[in-house]
Amino acid sequence: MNQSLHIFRKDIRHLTPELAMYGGLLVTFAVVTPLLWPGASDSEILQMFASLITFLLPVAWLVLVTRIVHEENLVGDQQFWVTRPYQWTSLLGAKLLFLAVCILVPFGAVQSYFILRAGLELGPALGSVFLNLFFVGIVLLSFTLLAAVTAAISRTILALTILTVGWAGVLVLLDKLTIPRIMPPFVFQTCSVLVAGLLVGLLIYQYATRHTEHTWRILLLTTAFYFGLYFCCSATNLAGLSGVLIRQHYPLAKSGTVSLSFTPSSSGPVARVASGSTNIQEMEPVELPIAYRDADPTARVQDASVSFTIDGPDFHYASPWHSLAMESEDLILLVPSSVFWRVQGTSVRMHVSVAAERMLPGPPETVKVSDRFRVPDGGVCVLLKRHISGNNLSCWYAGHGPSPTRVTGPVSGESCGGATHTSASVIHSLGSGLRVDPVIKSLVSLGGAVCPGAELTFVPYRSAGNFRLEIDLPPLLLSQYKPHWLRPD
Amino acid sequence: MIDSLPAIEARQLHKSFAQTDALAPLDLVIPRGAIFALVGHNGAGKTTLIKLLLNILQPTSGNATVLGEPSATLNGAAFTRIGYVSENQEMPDWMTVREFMDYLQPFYPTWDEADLLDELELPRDRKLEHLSRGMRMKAALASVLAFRPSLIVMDEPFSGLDPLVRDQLIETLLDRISEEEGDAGTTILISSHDLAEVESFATHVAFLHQGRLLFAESMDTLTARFREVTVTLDGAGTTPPMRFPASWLMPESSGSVFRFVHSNAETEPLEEQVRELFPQAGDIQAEPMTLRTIFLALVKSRQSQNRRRA
Repeated sequence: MNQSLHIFRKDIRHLTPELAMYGGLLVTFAVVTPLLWPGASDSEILQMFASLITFLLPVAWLVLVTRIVHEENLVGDQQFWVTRPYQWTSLLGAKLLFLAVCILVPFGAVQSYFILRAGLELGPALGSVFLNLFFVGIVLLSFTLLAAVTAAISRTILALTILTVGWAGVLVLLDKLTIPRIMPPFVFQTCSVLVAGLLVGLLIYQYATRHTEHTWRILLLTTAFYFGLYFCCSATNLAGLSGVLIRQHYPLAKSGTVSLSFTPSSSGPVARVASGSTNIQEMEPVELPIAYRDADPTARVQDASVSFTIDGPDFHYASPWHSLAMESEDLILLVPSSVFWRVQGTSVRMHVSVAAERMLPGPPETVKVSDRFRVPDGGVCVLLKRHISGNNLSCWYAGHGPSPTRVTGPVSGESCGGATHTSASVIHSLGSGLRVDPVIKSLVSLGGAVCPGAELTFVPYRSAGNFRLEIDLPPLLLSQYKPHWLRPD
Repeated sequence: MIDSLPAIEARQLHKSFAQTDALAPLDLVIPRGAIFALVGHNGAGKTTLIKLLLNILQPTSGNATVLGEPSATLNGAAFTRIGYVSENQEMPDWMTVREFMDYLQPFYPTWDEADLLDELELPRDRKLEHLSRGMRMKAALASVLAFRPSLIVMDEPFSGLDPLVRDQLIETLLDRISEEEGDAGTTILISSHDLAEVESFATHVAFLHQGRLLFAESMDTLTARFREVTVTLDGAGTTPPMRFPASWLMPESSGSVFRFVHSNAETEPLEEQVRELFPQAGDIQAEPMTLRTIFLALVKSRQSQNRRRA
């Protein structure tokens, strides 16, 4: 530890100018970002400047990390430190200490400042700040590993560029080949921990051995394996494992609470207006008259997904799980074109599984509107002086936002004082991920102006658990359920 | 006093880069307390050998021990007893000399720089990047001498230095290691392409040529072994014999004078050998040789052997 601190102090002394620049960047970031929050400035120049600062943050991380690692370069055979009594554990410890103290802590401080500046309570939001720091930590570890296997910053940047382009290429390829689908439960968390563990493992190996060629090989092999696994899970129907995970995570619903029923009509599907989401290459939409019912009419579903099988003479198809909109009386399934055109005129049997989270309303809470007022789930709402898309209520939360909340209240037209009508909207939570600004701003689309003094009712929906519904459909012809799309115009 | 346990022992140590042999398999023993000169032209493999011994490079095959530890596992702790100075070594150039010494001090429990900086006339407040080549080598040497290592490895430390600085470095080095107490004293392994640089103070010498170790032995036995022999033959037109003993190197005849280098004059009966092959031999003169002439004789002899084989 003493040696780590000794090296750490030396690094701080040498990189003081770079650290001062990073500090300046963070201060600028802390000053500029709140200026662009809803209700503040909407200057385009300021927005461009803020975007530039946000872009420069990871650049600064990359430069700092590379400089700190290359202080005691691991690549090469002319570094003075390799013939000095450095313990590799102390050296690695010093570098990680630098990342934590000089990069993560100031960034965490700025995130905390944003939360306080937004008028939110810091205590309940600390979890999301730490989660953000964890994701930044993974980014920093990636930079550290790349710097540890390259001799100069130009090579580090080149390696990062190649890996990023490769990763983007895989994503583009997957986007072209696949339909939107849900990620099996715990995959994001498991992958995050796995990636962090892998990075730490490789870093330890490189610092302990300085066998750069071996580390590169392991790194590339692992990346290729990761790409391959991701590709297999996404582009092919390697859904066995993820299917099991999803079924485990979404247990079969108890009878009497929720149900699916197949209610065919003689008229067939109604004509629908085409939207972008239905225009997926190599896929044919099939609209099945399957209705979802909940014994509690106030209940809602969240994050619904569907999977189905089609069985015909000498034919079987099992779809992966993909997202599902459960707003209408019908379910729209996406069937691969090759499958659809093969069986569309043949009588087939289908089995449909729907998985979702059931949400039940909590006790309503009524709050009086002022320019800035507190709302349930630790949020703060502000009235915007300038309307955005006809709305003037923006609610701010820390982290990934509140649980889905239904907001109901009186709104008037363009300005206050006129006739009012009651309107409702839903504030949704956001998924996990790295956010440089931890304050989630949600514009509440009530379709009019919310005025000071009005009373808004907030009904937060709490999870009543995950469920899965299964239904066997009678023999049917898929061609009868292909919707007739109308052009939007 | 030289301890029987060697400071360095290499067994069939070999390094190749792709298809090129940088160092042919070699055996080498460096006794404790020796000042061991590793000489050879640029590119002979001296730096590669040193880097293998210090675990900066990994050998292709073979192994070595350094101060009793396998070289392939030398780690941080071992370098509290081993000092390394190299002409090409990167240093924290942004530090001043004083900062450099202060930074290194906590790494070594035996640190005692005393008046080293004064002795080497090093400017404390000047950054390493602003030092001349000679000053940099002095700073590197000071940072090594300060922790009183058991083994000092120096790779071309005098290359490109003016004679004054070189002599000052050698003087400081020898003064400091003579102060060391203990059973075996400090061992020094020093590489150089300039034989004259090391001849005056080395106790042992090894010749590397094109990645091959020609020999390694003490200076005393080496200088006793090699003699430049001049034989004056009575009677003109004497034809030299076609075959010579293996220890005769670079034989050449010029009129009534026959010259060669005897590589085993200490143990073989020189005069008897000459008179057996040259019954008409008159005067036989055997002169001691300098390290430089020994090295040249060995290299030329090897080249001529290679030509004959080719």
